[in-house]
Amino acid sequence: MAFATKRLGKELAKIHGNLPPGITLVTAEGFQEWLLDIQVLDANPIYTGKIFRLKFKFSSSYPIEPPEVTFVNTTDRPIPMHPHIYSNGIICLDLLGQQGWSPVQNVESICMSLQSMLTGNTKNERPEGDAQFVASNRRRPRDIDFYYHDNTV
Amino acid sequence: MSPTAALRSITLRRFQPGRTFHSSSRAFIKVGDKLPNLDLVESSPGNKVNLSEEIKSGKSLLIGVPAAFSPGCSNSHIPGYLKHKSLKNAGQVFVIAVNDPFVTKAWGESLDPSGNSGIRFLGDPTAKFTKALDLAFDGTAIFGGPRSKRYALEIEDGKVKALHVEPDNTGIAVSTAEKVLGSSDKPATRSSKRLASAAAKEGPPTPLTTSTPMDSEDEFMSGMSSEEDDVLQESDNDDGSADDFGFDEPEPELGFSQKDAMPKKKKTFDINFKVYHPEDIQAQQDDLIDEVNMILDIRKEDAAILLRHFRWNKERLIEDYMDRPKKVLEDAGLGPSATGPPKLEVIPGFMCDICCEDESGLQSFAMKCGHRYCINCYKHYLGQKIKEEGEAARIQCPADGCKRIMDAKSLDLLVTTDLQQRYHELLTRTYVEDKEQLKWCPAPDCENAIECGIKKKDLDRVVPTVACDCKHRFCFGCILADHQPAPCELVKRWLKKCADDSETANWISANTKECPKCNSTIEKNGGCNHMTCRKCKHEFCWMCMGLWSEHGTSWYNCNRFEEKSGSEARDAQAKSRVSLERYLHYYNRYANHEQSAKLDKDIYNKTEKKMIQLQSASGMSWIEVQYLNSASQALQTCRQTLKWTYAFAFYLARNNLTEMFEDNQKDLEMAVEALSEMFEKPVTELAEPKLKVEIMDKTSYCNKRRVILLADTADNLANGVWSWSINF
Ligand SMILES: [Zn+2]
Ligand SMILES: [Zn+2]
Ligand SMILES: [Zn+2]
Ligand SMILES: [Zn+2]
Ligand SMILES: [Zn+2]
Ligand SMILES: [Zn+2]
Repeated sequence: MAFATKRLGKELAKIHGNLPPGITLVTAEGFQEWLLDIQVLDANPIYTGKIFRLKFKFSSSYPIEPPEVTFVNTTDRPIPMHPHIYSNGIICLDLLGQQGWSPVQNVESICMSLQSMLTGNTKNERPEGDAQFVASNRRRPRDIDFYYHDNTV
Repeated sequence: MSPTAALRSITLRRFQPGRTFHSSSRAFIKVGDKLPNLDLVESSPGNKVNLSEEIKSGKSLLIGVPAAFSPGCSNSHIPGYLKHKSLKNAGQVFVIAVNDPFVTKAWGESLDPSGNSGIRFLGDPTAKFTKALDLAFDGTAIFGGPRSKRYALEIEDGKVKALHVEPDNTGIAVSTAEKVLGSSDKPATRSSKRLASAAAKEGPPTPLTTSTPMDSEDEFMSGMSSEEDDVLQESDNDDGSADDFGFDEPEPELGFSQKDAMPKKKKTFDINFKVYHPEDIQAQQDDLIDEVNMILDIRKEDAAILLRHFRWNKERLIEDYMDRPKKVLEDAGLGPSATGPPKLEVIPGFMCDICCEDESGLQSFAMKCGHRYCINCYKHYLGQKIKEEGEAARIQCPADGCKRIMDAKSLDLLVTTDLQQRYHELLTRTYVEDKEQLKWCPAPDCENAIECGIKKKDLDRVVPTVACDCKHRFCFGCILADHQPAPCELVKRWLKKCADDSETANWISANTKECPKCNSTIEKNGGCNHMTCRKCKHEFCWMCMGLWSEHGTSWYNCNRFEEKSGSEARDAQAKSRVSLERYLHYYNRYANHEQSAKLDKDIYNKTEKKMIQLQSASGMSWIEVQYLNSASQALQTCRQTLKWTYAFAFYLARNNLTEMFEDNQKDLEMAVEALSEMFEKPVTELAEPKLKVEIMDKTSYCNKRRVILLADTADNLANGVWSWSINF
């Protein structure tokens, strides 16, 4: 754990009181699971007035391995509508997969990427086959081979 | 009584076991005797040949052999004649075997495909000719009937001029071409050409490929029922000459010898492929590396990196390198090393962007891209890539978006020895993975690769089953276990459908069913579909639950789903039920064969144990029990094929070819069930010579039916004449 702990400790020190606008740290107790909230700052009608909650799960190999990042659904935190976000909160984004991940990325840069992914989105829809995927998927996001067919959305 | 019937009854009496003297007063044929005025047969039962008529004048030679396709006859005895330079001086030459004409014809074609030798192969199906010469011996115990001694008769003007009869019936000593025709400067060598085909490598003996036209099923059956190849190889001779019989050459693998010597006609479903062992794969890479090393005059290590960079496309590498050597080297991570070999550095004020460590004296490393990280992070990163992700040839720089590839030299500097070793193993693997015509054998622990020229676009026309040396048979197209005759795309659809519908389908594939008569629960404990209820003795078919007595001759109704009548189909609800029933019909049979194949294997394991016990109790040899192994393998292979014929049939739209397919399927299914039933007999019965011969015949017949089905299906697939109920 030492490896991930050290890095996360440094990240946490940097994050405290110093996050970009629209990103806030909710909890970071321990170095296994963090919660952060993100907001779309531009006037995007799909996301106006909404706050979304991200859950980060770190393995002991973080940041060599990417963290597991999902949106979580609570009473006042919905799952954002997006063609790459399933209604169970699983995100299809190449930078979170083993192939697209670089250990130079960090919690803050992931939040910023997701923020901009929402900002640029114009489609108020779920990925194709959402209902079936949500009903049948028992795998963890890291074990899913997403086909990153369309990185423009 | 007809003359033939009379002869046959004499035959039977004469070869009753336990007789100590011949009931016939006729003595051994001698010099000066005339040939008996009896018919032999050539090519087909109707084509009679009377040698006493045919060779009234001039020189001729008769060679008698115990059986067609026996290793002794196929490997040295007859080939010795075929190759002898004085053969043409021997006059007309006839080979006579106690076999039916189909078998002797097929055998003749296998030994002398062109027919150039002029040797004619005649059958003496009832051994009456052989017996008239008094050159028969009692082979009932092993062959189920009389056999011919091995002999050569020199005939001149219709009379015996000289005779060479093997004293021990079946040895190859006095009747060889050398002894009869004089020594030859061209010694008889075994002509064996190994054909790398799936059919040739599978467990069960490969059915002979013969162009014999099949006029009717009966003729075909008769052609098969007296096939002796297995009999001869796997049986001892009870008259004590076992050692001379068929085992004149050491046979490392029983049941495979005659096939090697047999030229095979290429079948559509026989795919050309090669099996490479790890050392072959290494040698191929070394050859390419050597070649590039010589042509481009660069170091071997660099040639290896360049080749991997170009995915082993040597031509493209050489072409590109000739054009722009600097760029090629740069792209492959081999740019001019002004800074010398890769090294670790300590840079004052350095902070690692991965671990955020900045203590002084921290060792760091950067490739040519300049992205610098500490050695610990590199170790972790490379460990993750190599161990967890199995990457080697294309590990990128850890920096986000940097495409720089980690080279072997830098890697060796950064990781521990065990990782280096794994890395180099993986590098070797990329050779296979980079080549479209190479694939790893998917069997666990198998390190072989298969080369096959089948391309993705061919897969709707051909089912490329290949067989690794580890015996695993798989599809080169999709890597799944052998699924002939169904094409890959159909298999994919079917498996997906079965997975989706598994809840519905599970109940029907379950291993227990209720007796249709007394409702007691019956567990299927063998591969056969013929079920007998232990409680009420009701006999029924496991597949359709119908009366078994109705199946004996009309299995037909059990392999084909009878489309429901129009009145039922009018009802929309019935329609969906029909579609489900239709699916279940095929799924049930598919699953049944899958299950039965497993059960047959269990039974073989059990039987093998019992046969071992029997061996020690009765003194029978290991070789004598091997026929069960052949039968077991045939059951496995045929059931694998049958299994997929049902998935195939499910998607098949009816046209004029469907019936032939169903007939082939039915024939194979009947044969397999019959063999499976014999196979389940108690050990005491299995050891009986009669059942043994039956099992061997049925095994050979099953293998033949499978080949016929696969050949027909594959031909139609290749010609694109099947029509499907869905679009693939
Ligand atoms: Zn570091
Ligand atoms: Zn780099
Ligand atoms: Zn293998
Ligand atoms: Zn396939
Ligand atoms: Zn019963
Ligand atoms: Zn039935």
